[in-house]
Amino acid sequence: MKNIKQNLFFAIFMVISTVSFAQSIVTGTTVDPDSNLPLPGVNIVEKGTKNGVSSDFDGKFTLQTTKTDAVIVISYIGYLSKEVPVSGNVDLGKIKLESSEFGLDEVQIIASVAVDRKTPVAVSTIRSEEIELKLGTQEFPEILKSTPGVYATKSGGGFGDGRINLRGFESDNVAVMINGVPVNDMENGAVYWSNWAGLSDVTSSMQVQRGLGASKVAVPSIGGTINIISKTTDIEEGGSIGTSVANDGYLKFGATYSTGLMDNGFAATVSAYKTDGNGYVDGTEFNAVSYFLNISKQIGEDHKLSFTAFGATQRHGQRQNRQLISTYRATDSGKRFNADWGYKNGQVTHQEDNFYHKPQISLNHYWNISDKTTLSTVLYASFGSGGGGGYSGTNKFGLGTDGVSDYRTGLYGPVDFDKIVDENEAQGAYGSETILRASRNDHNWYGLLSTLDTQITDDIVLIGGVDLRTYKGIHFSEVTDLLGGQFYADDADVNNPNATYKVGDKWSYNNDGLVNWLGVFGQVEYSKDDLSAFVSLSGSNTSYKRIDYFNYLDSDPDQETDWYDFFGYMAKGGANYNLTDNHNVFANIGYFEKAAGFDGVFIGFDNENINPDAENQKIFSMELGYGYRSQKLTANINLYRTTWDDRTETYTFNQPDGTSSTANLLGVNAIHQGIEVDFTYRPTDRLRVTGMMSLGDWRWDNNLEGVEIYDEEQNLIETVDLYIEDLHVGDAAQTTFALGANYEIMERTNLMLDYNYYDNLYAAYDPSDRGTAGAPDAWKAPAYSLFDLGLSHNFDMGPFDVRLLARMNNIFNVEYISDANDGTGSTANTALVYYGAGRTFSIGAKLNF
Amino acid sequence: MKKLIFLLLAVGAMFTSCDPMEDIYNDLDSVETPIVGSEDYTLVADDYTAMGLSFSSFDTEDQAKELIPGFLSDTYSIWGKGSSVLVTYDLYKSNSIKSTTAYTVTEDDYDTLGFTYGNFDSAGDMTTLLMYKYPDAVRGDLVELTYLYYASGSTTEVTNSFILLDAWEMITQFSIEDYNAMEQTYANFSNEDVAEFNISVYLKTLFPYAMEDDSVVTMYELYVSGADNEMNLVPYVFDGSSWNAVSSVVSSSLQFGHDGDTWVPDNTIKYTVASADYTYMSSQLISVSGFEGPAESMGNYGNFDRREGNSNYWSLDMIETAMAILLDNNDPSAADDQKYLMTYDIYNGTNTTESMSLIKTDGVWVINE
Repeated sequence: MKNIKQNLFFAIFMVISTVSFAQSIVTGTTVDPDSNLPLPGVNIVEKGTKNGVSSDFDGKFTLQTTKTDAVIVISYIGYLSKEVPVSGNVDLGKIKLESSEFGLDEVQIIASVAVDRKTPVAVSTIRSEEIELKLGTQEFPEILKSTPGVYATKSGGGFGDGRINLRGFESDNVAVMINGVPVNDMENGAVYWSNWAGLSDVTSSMQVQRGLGASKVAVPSIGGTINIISKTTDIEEGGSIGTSVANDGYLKFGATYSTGLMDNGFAATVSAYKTDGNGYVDGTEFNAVSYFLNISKQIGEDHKLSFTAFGATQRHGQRQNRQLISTYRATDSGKRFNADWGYKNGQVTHQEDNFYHKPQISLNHYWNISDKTTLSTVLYASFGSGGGGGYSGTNKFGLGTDGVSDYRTGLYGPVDFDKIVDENEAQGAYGSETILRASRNDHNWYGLLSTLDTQITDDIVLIGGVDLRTYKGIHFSEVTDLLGGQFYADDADVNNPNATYKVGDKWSYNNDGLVNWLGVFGQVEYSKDDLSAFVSLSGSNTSYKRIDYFNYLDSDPDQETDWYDFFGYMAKGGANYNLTDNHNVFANIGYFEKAAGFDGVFIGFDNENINPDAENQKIFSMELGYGYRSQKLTANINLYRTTWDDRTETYTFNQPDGTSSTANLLGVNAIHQGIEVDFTYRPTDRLRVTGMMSLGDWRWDNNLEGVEIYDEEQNLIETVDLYIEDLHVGDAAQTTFALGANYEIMERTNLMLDYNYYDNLYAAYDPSDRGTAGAPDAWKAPAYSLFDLGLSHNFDMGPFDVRLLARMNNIFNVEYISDANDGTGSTANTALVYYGAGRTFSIGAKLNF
Repeated sequence: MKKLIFLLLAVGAMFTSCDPMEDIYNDLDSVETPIVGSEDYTLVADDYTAMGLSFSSFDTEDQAKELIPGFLSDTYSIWGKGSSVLVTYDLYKSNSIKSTTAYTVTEDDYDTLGFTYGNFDSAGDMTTLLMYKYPDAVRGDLVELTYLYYASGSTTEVTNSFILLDAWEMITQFSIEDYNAMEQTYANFSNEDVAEFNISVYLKTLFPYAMEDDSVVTMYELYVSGADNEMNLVPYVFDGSSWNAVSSVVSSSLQFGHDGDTWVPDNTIKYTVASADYTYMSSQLISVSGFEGPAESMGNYGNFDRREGNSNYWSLDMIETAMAILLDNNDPSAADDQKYLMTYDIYNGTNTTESMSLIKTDGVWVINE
């Protein structure tokens, strides 16, 4: 809309400028289309000449043209070039450049990307250029580590095993959307970042919306929403090749090519990267290939079609078992120590590993029905295949007493798989004692998301749509290595008792989780002058069904359950008011109910004892925000309070007739509140300083005392007590600071220094386990500070625009605990922990053409 | 403004200079972590010499308990608390006669000891008398006892010799007919080896229905040329097929444990709970109230779930119960004061082990604090 206004402005300007001079002065200000902030370094050239300037730090430029009537070309990487005919002295005013990516604006609508000084939610946005600068060898979620409310770690340190908590909430309470498509697991809500290895290479922007977020569809946005927009297709032809090397044998290389928008209306981009390495942590070797394909076509004036397919196939060794601090200290590897790997026949063999491939395929259709109405539709599918490896049978993988084990080579040494193989061989016709297996978690997921956006009056926009999903989770255990034995015997399959299994066979369990989702949403947006506001309503029906091929006979009707429906809804609203050009304030408030997860309905892999009355979780959240925008300083302050009531809590007991039954315990509540401050300061055009402070107060709210559970005959079965009042929520640092500087030390060369501080990290624990009165808070891990250093250098080499990047993370090699599980007595001696990575480095080069 | 930024960075650098783990490591380091070893060792001749002994044996068990700790401190100087060594050593058990006394049991003796008929009538009665009469007797004391004995309907006065070895034993002596039967012309032997062998053969004739582990203490006269004859004592044990002389040097063993300061006699048996043990404990507890879930979990995983608050959680009290059941099964005949250090697999979020020390007290296994 603003673009139209601008075009009108130029047209009128051209009509009235009738006076001609031999030369003329053209002035203007280039601004970023999203933030409305000045965009420095934009090239302004008089077409057909070498006469050109760059916009300065404030986005301002002054160009003296050689002719009175000239065409000015305004260009910047990542944006479409703009040609403006001028005549005589003219001030072009604010010039907004449009993204050069085809369909990006449209996908941002589907994805509910928040707009600064308009959408009343707390956001932080990181663009592809910054992702490239910051990522190095870090896990994808770690890009956000300097964002308020975020706690992101590598977890065990395996490739793709990173995790992110937002405002103290775990991944099942953080909505993640890729191009507007929700990707949280349909059964348990979790997000597995290893599914998205390589996504960082094709990410256009990553926006964290803290709290309720701007999403119109019903998503589990309790902590917030992470909105990832992939690249689409570049309208201009070009591409890049890149490679990087890093610590511990890390090597990555790949290429991207875009055809540009061709005369026939087609445009395509392909990208592929291969990444291999040994991992910083012992026994976390990995291989991954990621790919991205986008084909877009403009059909007539009003239709755009865009087909996107991306994914990554990866396999990586994992550190699954956390250890005591004293164990790490006793080992030679220290913070790199991992107990979950060994050698078989001279080859590294992982006791714990993960492999997955999940192509995400979508077809987007954008239709300008009229000037005022658009319809955006995504039809998508994803096919997950893979799982996590581990062992079954006799456990020969323990560390033993003080690291001495018959099945390890040396003190705390790697697993001696050869010994296990020998023992399995000796078992002969009795079959393997110990095997490796994979817990497969495949799925097929199809969805349709359609959004109609119509302008009712000049000030009011009505948005409505549907969100349909159908999902089948396929769960089974697969024998992956008999470790020398002839077979593995197991009687878990009632349809095949006394079965013997070989590699590739399904054994132990085999069941499907079916989920159907039907959602509708509507939103009214009001925007006039300095005020913008919205009210949003959405409802969703989740249906669950379970099929168990092993626990129930094929002849048993219980093998397949009925469908069980759960209804959730969300109502939220908010407003932003721009007090002046510098100051804005906003507020939002919302309530939603989230259906229990699949495991809260089908408890204990049971098709008979179903919990059809699983309670909704209830979330109430409100937030106040203040923003300051000026050419040198932008700053935000947010205050939030989120209450999370009736966390799914079930208790299983036996009825008098011997069947088991489930009680839903209500009242496990948490309150997460806090204050977040972030700023960007540009004292000169060569220095940019960013900073963040996030102070959270996240606690469980109240004790559950004397909750009585009765069976059908009103016999008192159990009195449940949970003592959790005022206990700090664990697993995420409640206090975080960040400070960063990006300084242009010479032309096209930048030095970046980032400082992060984390405190009040309480060990993770399950509040359901807190049955003892007076037990202390979970163990608090020591606060830690990390420094990261980066250097980028750009230069031209023939037809290439070359960028060199060097990064060193944790430059002081600080030893710190990033993840902890609480132990007996909640002390440092009993906590099971992961150490964060020590000093790591990476060097990369990218050639753009 | 620049100054402010550098100030902030400087403050940040101060944070960094601190090692976040320092306090935790200091705490960990303040707890002693002794080196724990375990060994079976048999003393050799040089070891006895090193302990200042002229023979390669101890005279008494008390002497072994007194001298071995010093030897272990020298030999295993780097081992600390929790270490244990099972020491095998030779104990000299003298079978020589130290003193000889003759005594005739009086009417008062019978009265005092409750023999109301004024005589003895079973083998144990003489032991009762000897223990009463000679409470301070030591090994090698011989008593020629004259007493009234009732058997087969009549009471006769008999004289027999008794000697205190490990306990009071009646001595089997040989008559001239016995010596002749053992191919000796006179009522003595002139060679110790011949005596030992011939007696072992002759005992078969004397005790044709002997059972395994039956024992007999024999005494024979040894002819010594140019001096007084000697009375020699030889105990025999029947092994089921033949009588074997018991050597005076007996191989014994004692376990010593390191208590943090020194080595002390300690009978602790270190035992690592095996796969079959978990199955056994699980089967014994699966239907015991309060143990159903934890026992099932143990049966499935072969370990104790030690995640506090978890429904399958094993408290220390519960583990004590399970260990007592296991020890009663594995070592039912253990004597009181027998100690066990049980090491068992646990799951507390990761697979590791814990240990528990138990002692048998009044026939029941309890935690040894």
